[in-house]
Amino acid sequence: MTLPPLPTIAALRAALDAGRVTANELTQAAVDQARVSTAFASVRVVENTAGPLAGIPLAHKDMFDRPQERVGMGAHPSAAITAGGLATVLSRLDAAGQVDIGRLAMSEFAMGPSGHNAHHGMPDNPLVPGAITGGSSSGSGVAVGAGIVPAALGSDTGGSIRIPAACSGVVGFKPTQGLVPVDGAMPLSWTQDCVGPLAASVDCAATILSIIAGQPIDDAGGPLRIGLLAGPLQQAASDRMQAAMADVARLLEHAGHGLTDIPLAFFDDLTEPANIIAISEAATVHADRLQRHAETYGPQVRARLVQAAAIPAQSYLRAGQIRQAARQRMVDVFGDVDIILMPTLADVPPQGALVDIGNDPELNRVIAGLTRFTRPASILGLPSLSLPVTMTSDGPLSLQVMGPAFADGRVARVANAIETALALRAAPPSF
Amino acid sequence: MMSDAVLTAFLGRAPTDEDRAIHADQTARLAAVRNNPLLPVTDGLQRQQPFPPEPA
Repeated sequence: MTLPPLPTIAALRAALDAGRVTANELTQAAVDQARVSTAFASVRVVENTAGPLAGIPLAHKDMFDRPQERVGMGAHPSAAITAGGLATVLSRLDAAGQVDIGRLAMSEFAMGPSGHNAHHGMPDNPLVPGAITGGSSSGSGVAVGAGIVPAALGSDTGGSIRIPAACSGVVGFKPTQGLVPVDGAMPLSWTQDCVGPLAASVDCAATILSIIAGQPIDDAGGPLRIGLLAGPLQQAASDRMQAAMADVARLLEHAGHGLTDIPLAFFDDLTEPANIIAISEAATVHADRLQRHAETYGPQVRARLVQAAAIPAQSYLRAGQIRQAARQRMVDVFGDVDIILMPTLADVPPQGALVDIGNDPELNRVIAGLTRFTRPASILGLPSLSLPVTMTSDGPLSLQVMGPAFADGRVARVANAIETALALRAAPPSF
Repeated sequence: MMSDAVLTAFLGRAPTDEDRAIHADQTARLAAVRNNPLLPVTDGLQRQQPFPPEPA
């Protein structure tokens, strides 16, 4: 099975430059789709006229500041703020010519990997009826996966770009921690938050990442040593996910790269340190509002923030010590391999009813299950790109390509090679 | 109860039974950090820095 065709930035650019379509026509078509899509929190048009993205419609997660606009953050309407400044990432996309057509749905305060939202519901998965969209950048994945825009910004603290990308069958690129400015973006967990693109292709994602990072995302090329996740963590993935990864590994070997099995058993030891860091920092961000307006939080987000009351400062700092020890361990790992290949989810995106559990006591287990493969790159601050590699009758299977810090260009090169070799998606529509 | 005092300070109001249940559920999480193989328990001083060094 193949994935449905999606418009790419390159295809839209070529059509615009050849005069086969006008910027107004592209914008109007995207706005018409956006107005009836569950992916959008609001629709409006901010036009820019010069630059490589001129005439290209994009939309972004409803958490980035743009002067005088309401920033909803997926929260209760009373939590929305009116922005004063302009987020650097939006400023850079404006300067590159983007047509920003709206603000995209998200999990409440970016807390929730399933995409459920107690206030606004969950957008519709564009590929699999009833399946979760993933979160927290739920609308970003859906807007791209439905072909409304070729790329959309999201944010990722424990998987919030990569999980919705995997659920909607698109590319999601969490960059190296610190590569992309986060000013003007809603904070969640300062030491793990990243801003990055969800996109129709690896090339689209790399293009957007280069713009928002303010520097080229490139790589020298040449054969690489690819580390394939192995051992108990890999065996936690479904048989078909493991088979899909084996197929991709063969393609990479055929292209001249070396393969090495790499257990990375300590990744599972990072789950609770990552959670403790995330909820402690999130509870600090929300301390004042939680005291004054606790009733406006959805049950699951409120429960997760209340958990932080049980975390002593020493446990938060010990989690930080564990993170540093793990980062030192990764220096050795990346002495042996150049890139790591691993699943994004254990299998296809689950049906919503299986993981919509509100503040049930099982919520930590369910969240840990959805983020088991994505949390390591977050706590380690590493670049990780998720891309679809197989389309089954139950939905897409996606893998992560993870690299050393600031090797984002290498990650993009390997992902692009996989995408090209698989040719999983039908060609972009012509104009 | 100590946990009620902590929760009251944290929440800005008296805790509900639901708050108490959420709070009490964190012992396994704390144990996973206390006994983590990546940071072995030592008889000496735990010298690992919790944050990366500031760039020069």
